[in-house]
Amino acid sequence: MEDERIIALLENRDEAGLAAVSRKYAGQAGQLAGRLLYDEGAAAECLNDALLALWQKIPPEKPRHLGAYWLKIVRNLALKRLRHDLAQKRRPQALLPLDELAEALPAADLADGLAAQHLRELIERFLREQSALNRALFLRRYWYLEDTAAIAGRCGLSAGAVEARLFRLRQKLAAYLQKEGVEL
Amino acid sequence: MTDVMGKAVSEENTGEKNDRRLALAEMLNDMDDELLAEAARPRRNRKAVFMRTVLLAAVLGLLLACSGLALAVADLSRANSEFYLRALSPADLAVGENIELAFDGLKSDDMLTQYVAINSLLDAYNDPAERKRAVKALTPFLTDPEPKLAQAAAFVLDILQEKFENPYLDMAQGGSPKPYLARLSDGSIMFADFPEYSDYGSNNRLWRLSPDGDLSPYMSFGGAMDYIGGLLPSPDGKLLAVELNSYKSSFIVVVDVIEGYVSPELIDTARIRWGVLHDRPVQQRIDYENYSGYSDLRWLDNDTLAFDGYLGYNGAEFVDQVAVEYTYTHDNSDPTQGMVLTPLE
Repeated sequence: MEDERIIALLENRDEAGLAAVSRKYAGQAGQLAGRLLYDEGAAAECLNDALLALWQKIPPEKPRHLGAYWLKIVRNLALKRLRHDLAQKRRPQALLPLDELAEALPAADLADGLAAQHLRELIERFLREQSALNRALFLRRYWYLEDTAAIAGRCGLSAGAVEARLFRLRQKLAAYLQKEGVEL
Repeated sequence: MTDVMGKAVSEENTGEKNDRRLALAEMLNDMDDELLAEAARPRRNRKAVFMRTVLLAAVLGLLLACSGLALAVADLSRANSEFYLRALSPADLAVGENIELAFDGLKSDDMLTQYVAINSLLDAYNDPAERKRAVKALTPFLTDPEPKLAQAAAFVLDILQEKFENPYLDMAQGGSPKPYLARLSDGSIMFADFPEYSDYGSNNRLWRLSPDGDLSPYMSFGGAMDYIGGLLPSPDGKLLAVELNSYKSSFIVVVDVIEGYVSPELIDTARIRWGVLHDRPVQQRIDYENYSGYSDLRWLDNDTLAFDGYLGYNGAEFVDQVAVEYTYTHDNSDPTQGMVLTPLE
């Protein structure tokens, strides 16, 4: 079903819209939550909570990309759960891919909302200057948190080629941020 | 430093690292939807595919002279397309015309060819030797990184291995997707092939596994009824409601598989009847798109199907919300016989 029709169902308070979201995007969302939480039950719970959140947000919101919009909700809820789990020393491996990226970013306090927003906007601008393939590699690795083998299979590259491209992308990102006046 | 102090420092460092990773993950969370949607789409590295194709074209060119170039061009144009399926062309489906072509198609670099080949191996069901061969060839696809290929393999293997567990019910996490497989009271099993092959539903073909174990295509649908979106058997398992979609419209028919009858298409029938009664423009478009839909499809008893209809007139200029109840009988002479329409609040 087209996203526009799903959104129209949600706007009409028709629960068939939620079933359609689930049918169309639950596979991707489940994998994302699974990668963060390593627990099928917790991931399923996270998806249910995200469907409820979607129901509460639409209307009035009307996202242009329903899939990405819902995945963000799923990711956000999974991160909240993960924060709690990490405090209990559980699932420390979930965010390891981000250690690679951290080396290219400033050591500034990301808890500062404005600084974090500025940095994210710079990263978005940087990504828009890259090829579609490089954008996909970057986001698959650091947003969707996929392992390099999975990305390689998806993009028709070898795992080594994915890692090499990501390495060069991180270097370019660091240079770009420096050029934009960000202290690393 | 003592072991205890060392451990404490190490735990503190780990905690800091985790905080940093979380902050980074949260910072990235609000990334632009458009970038995320683009990254989510399946893609192949066009340059690598291009290089492979050029190499292939060169070898073929030596062997086959002029015909090699034509093959390479066709392969390149297919390889560069996104794995997004709206409708399969006769050329796409040609892979399924011969079971050997389907087996060969599994080895293709082109995901669309692989996808059609996987689904086409349903044809191996009636031949035990071919079925065994197909199961062996399909099993590796269960772990394919491309979800559509993995799901197609799971569905076809479910049939070939006679599990009939309808794996699509299990695949969608956190929701209740529509089933593509239904068991009827005479012991036959009905299913739609190519589930999820497009954004709208399955391929337009309904299969029947008869009680004596013979699998064959049962029926397909015309007009704008392009995709089977779900199957809903009646409580006694004698009738089957088939949900159908196109890009713009939805349709529902009741199939009496056991007796061999089919109802009128219910949404357009309701649309015309309601329109005549309420002075709506009920003209039919030449492409049969009626911009109408439904929700909450359910059986009220063994013969009566109900749904909430969204009936469109003059494109979607007027959309009337109407509760539809339809009692099936195979010997009716009037398409609207057994249909009750009431306005939704």
